[in-house]
Amino acid sequence: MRGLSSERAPVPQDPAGASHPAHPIPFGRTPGSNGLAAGAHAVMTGVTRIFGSAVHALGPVDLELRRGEFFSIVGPSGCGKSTLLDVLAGLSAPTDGTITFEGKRVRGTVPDGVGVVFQEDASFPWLTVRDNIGFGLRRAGFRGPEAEDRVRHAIDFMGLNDFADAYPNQLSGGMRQRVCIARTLVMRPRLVLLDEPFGALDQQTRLLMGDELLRLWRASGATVLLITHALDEAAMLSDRIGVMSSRPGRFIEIVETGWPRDRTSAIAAEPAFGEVTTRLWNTLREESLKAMASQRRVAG
Amino acid sequence: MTRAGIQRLLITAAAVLALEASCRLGYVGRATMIPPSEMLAELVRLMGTDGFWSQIGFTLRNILAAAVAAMVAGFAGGVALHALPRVRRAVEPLIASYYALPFFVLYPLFIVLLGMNALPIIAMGFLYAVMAMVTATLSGLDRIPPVLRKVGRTYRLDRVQDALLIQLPAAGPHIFTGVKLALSYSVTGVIGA
Ligand SMILES: Nc1ncnc2c1ncn2[C@@H]1O[C@H](COP(=O)(O)OP(=O)(O)O)[C@@H](O)[C@H]1O
Ligand SMILES: [Mg+2]
Repeated sequence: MRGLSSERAPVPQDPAGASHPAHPIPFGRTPGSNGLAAGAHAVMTGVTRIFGSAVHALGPVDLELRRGEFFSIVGPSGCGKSTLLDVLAGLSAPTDGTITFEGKRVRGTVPDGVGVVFQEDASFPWLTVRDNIGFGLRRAGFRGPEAEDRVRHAIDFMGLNDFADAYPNQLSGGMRQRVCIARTLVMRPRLVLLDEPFGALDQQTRLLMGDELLRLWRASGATVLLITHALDEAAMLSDRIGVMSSRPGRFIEIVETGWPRDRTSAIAAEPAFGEVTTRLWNTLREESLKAMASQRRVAG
Repeated sequence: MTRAGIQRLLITAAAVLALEASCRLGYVGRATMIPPSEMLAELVRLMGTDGFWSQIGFTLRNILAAAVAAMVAGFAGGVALHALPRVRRAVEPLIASYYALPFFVLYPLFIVLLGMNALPIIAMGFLYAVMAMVTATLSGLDRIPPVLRKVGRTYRLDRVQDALLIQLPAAGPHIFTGVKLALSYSVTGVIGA
């Protein structure tokens, strides 16, 4: 079933944080998935999105996310990445095409098991960090010690211990984004969609958060879709990377990295890492040159 | 007390003294204004008479009634206008020029319609206060970041939950400003009437 991934390095059999015994596993394993099951988890077929009658933002796009994989999307800004995420999550309807998640059509509502971290600051300013993170659990009817435990662990894992009772406006942009990531991940989603979640962070924090994301991904067994504009980030974290064209965004190439599941940012020192980033860079460069040329034709 | 507080107090005291002096020395005629000290004496005398406190109570009750009615109606009006952008565009000029309208010409009409009782007074306070609440509600709802609505949808909130758990608290600070404004505008309206 995994087709292309057959030539990848063997996958470690106990990925549940075993390589980092010093850390707790705050978000637990996603129920109903072991992260290794093969097969399509979410599928987009011939999806386009046109705003109004004029702005063709996306597509047509075909995308198959494999269960448990870490997939990144890179592409020029304004090419439709956030639009793709909205449509895939069920937050907005595609103009054309279909989306399925775990075999069911996605239509008009966000399916159970899908978690989203948005590009914009989406923390609730009227709730403390603790209450922000517990928001989804309370809505889903989780209360009592188990829910409190999950929230406490999430706060701990995200390094927010000193700010548990602070309000978002007392935090930096990077910390607010961590609150949003924690708020999504405590729900133990089976598919996590992240839209440039580290955009507000400095380079060191980005690397650390990348490692943490990898650890969470391994521990939870969830499928991760990460949108980023940082090619090295995509190359470092992903099993596969989709490169998008400029608007209307389509996939012009999908790069398979072949990294072992048990990886960290240290992979950036490998020669293969350089090959992957170079390939991404070349593809994007050709694409931007083409886009610039066609703009010049329109202008001239 | 802070330094600025002390300064403010001194400036106010100096202004009152200057006013007292100009009244006493005849720069300001008695027909224009009686000296502040006499106002104070009159206030103390009035507070001793029967009826003063019941009058005050009557006025406060009217203010409160006008303010609460304005808050409820203004909030409902703001929510409705926000939900109906076409209607909102149509009434936008009225909202913008509302406080230029001479409400007091309506007062006699209210007395005819509602009788010689508290109702016309409350109606005046209400008219003053209601649009402040409408505009505060509208600007609060306008300023809710769209992404918060998306977050609500990822937690599969229904419309009522979304309104109560996300939109209302997100618009909260503006709506609270509206509440304060409605209270002070209804004071103006009721005392004026
Ligand atoms: N609600 C909308 N109405 C009209 N145009 C939109 C809307 N949302 C996005 N767009 C346009 O669609 C294109 C893709 O936007 P987006 O998906 O946010 O890009 P990216 O996330 O890749 O930067 C952009 O040109 C943007 O201006
Ligand atoms: Mg975007």
